[in-house]
Amino acid sequence: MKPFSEKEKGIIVRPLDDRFYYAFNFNNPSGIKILSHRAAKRLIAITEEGDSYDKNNKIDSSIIKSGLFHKTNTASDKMTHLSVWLHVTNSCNLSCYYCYIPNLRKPADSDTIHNLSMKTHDAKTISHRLISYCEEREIKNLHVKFAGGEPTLDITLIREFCREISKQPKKVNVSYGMITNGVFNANQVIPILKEFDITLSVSIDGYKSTHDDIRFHVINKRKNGTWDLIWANIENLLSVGIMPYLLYTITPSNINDIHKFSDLAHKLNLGYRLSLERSKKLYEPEIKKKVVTKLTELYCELGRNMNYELPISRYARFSEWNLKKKKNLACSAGRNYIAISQRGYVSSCQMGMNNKYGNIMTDGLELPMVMMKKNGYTSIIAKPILRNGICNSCEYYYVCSGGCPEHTVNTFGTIDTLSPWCTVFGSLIPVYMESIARQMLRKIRSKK
Amino acid sequence: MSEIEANAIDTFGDVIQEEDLYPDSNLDTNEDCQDCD
Repeated sequence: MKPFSEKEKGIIVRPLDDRFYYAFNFNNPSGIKILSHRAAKRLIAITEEGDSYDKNNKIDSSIIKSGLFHKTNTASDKMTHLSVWLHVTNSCNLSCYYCYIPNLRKPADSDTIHNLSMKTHDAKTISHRLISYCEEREIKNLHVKFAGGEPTLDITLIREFCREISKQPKKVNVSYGMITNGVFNANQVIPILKEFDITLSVSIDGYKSTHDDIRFHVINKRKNGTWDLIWANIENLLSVGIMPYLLYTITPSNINDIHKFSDLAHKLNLGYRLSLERSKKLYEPEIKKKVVTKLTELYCELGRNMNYELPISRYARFSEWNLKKKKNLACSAGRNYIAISQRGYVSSCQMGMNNKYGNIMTDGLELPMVMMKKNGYTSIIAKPILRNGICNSCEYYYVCSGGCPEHTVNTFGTIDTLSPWCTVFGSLIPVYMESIARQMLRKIRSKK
Repeated sequence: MSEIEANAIDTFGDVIQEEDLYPDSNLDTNEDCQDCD
């Protein structure tokens, strides 16, 4: 990258063709901007040649209005929303080797599921505690994600939780999501999704055989892949107008299939997010290089050819990246994101459920939230402005934000070091940005 | 200035953002960050 003037350090301007450019501010991310040739010339004059803005100049006004120069702040302590991972059950019907949920019972048989699930009475109590906390703190939006384990193993509990919420005064806007492996009884699950407007994310990790190698269930001691079952359920969902969001965890075994998976998803107008495996295993540089190569090929292809009515930022997301937000940390764990176990214990996120900061049923939520900010393990996660590691000096800091903090802590014992996937992030960020810019340009060019 | 560039400026202005192109899409919602945000 070229050196920047102190004044506008962090702004890049790159050509897309001979008429259009794109710009991005790494210090204050506010999204990709497509610039006309004359706007790009003005921006370069301002950022690299020391020209001053002219408020009366129409082009300068457009650049300023776009937010490119805005000094955006990272999230403040004031909570505007609360997002909760509600661990409906600590059991799963599959046994994916890289699952990051600690102490999960997998695969669970039908006899043990009940013992490993949240109790209905507890779910009701938790719903009241959450609403009270939001009301007291004037938090307007509460998002509850039903997860586990496999949450559909106890779908009736989810129904009871939602019903209990709906009985309470509507001072807080409550929305619901669910993260599932897609192996469920559609006749039982779909009516509840529809009744409570629950959005659905389905994990698909490969394409047919690679997916089946990772995501299988055991019937009579034999491995049975879940690909066909999941896609039958996706068809069921689509037939009633539910558009699931797909989550693809990239592993060395399924990296070759991301193109085929992407094509299939987009053929059905389904969005997805690609994430890198978060196990403690450290991969060799050759494997990381292959991951970079495959992802680069994919995003170059998407930028050039993906349906421009499906924006990459939503339909082909990568990791926790959001080019419109300035983030010190990839997620908001411990601030406006928490996990609640099936027994009511509060943690900063689902990956850290071994670290409990109180029980929402007995302690409420105020105390656990304070504990997270004070605890040595989570204090930086809960208050990322305190970060002071090598990532802080990286030009890409506010885009990748060091990746998943729990993954880094679990692997290296500290957050203030590089993510195990740092080299992949660093190589991919420019590619990802350009793919979004190229798709935007194709959409612009389509307007006659 | 090419015809395409002139059209683009006419329609969107000299600086174009994703929101201009996808006004109805939720590009920045919690729903996207399904397990982390």
